[in-house]
Amino acid sequence: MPIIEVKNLTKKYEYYKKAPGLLASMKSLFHREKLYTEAVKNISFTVEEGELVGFLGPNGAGKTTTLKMLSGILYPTSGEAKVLGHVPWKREKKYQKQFAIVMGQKNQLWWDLPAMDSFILNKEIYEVPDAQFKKTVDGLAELLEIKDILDVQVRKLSLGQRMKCELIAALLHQPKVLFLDEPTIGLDVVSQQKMREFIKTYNEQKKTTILLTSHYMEDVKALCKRVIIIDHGEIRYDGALSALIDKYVDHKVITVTFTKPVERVDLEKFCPVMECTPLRAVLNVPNEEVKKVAAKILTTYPVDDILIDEVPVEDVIRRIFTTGKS
Amino acid sequence: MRRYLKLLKILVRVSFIRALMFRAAFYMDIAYSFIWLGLFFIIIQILFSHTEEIAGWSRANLIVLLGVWSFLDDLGAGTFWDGIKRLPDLVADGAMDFILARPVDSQFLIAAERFRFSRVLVILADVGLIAYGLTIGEMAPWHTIILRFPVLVVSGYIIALSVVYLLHTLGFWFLRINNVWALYDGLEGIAKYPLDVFGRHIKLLSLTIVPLTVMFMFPAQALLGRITTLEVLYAPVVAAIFFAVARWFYQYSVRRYSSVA
Repeated sequence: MPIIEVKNLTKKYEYYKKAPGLLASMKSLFHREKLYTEAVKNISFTVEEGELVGFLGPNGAGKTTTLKMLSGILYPTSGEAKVLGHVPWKREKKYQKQFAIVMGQKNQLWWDLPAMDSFILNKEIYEVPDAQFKKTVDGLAELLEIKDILDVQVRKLSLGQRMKCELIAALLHQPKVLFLDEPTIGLDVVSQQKMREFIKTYNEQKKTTILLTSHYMEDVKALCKRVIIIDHGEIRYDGALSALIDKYVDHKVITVTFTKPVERVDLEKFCPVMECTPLRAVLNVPNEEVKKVAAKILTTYPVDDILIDEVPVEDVIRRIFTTGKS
Repeated sequence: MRRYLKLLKILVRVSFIRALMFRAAFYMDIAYSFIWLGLFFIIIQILFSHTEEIAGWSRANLIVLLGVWSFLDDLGAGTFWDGIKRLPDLVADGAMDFILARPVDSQFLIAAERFRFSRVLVILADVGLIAYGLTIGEMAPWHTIILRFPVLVVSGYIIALSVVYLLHTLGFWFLRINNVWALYDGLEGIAKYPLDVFGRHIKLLSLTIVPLTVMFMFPAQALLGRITTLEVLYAPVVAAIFFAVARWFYQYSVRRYSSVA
């Protein structure tokens, strides 16, 4: 039985038009034009227990709005959703004790106090027993390597350290469902990597169902077997990350370096040439012709090295967003 | 209930830590409150150097009223007001997200996050002022004070709490509510003087829609032995109605919350 069930969920925001300039501002005192934007349009999907699903999309695609509806922060305009059998926006305490949300761009920790003070508040809010609290904080702090900073004011921590503390605050009550909204945003490469490793380990050990949004493809590639791609509020793709490439890409990329200069026109006889310098070329080759083309190049030209790659996932997703095709 | 008391204990502790961190603000707030209290006291002295009574209120009575008004105002400012006043900002910057996602009453969490300990000293001064007013003037028998005053003070406090919540809940509807709050703050300031002087219509208004008389004058009247049983029974009813309306309006307004991108 799915842990998260979303059916025809829609969220429409209303806002007022604000034309620039003094005159327009004066006019708006008497009349304001109300506008609507559909952040999420009729989306449906399910997530099984223990799954770690990547929720991808450009800015304003509707990812965060969806997470906020699933965590009961926002009311939907229409549609249904159930998480752990609860309707999120009813804000039942029983449900709220079973999920957590972490937002990379917002903090729930008290800024001017050590993180431990916020943990103690969460302990009482989520009614975590003393022994479990100590064990969880110790365990997570050890795993995230931040044992020595729990009594330092949050405002004095680095962004990476703060995010780790945010994670501990969110995981104290051992939620069954975890919503991670851009957890690695703004972090340096090393911190991103550590955060990824932690999320992966936590998901494997605790079987927590995780819905993750991120702009970083590295996060998605490292963590998610399944992705949901959302754009302009609509789901464009829902399936395995590996299948995404099969579905949207009909070619591979061959990169060849030569020992002697080669003419572009000669290479174009085989397939489209994406890049070409006298000693290096990048070719887009249809899947069914890869072997044949590679063999031909190897026998015809002075090849120093040849690499056959899949099209990067980033490019696939970018193409989905730019073409708007499903 | 026990859980909420535990939470309250943690939040009070955190506020105290903060108060110790920002010592200058702590002392300034005490000084500010004492200056205002002293100023109002001087105004009363000046007024009564020209007359014996105003609308049936003597100098001593007015000192009691000022003491009660200041006591309730400082009690509010010292406890939940600062927390509630953050509500429009929490809505505007999207910080309500975490509050709404937690398994605890969000109205409680908002209100209880900021206590102002500097007001405790001022409350002691307020009590002293009330005692002074009662000593130099009339005073109700102790047994009626014990029976009536706590009911009226608690009712006044609940009404004030509800009004503060009602006004700041407007933060869900309007980006800025400073003017609305300033209007109420100004009106509340009037209640440190006997509202009888403003005539029948204002008195009626101050008993119902803006129940300043119920909040401030009734407790003072209980101390002075000038309150009827009907008035004592009326105050908790008004408090219950205001509390229920504030609660409903908050729940209703939360549906409008759209967070921040």
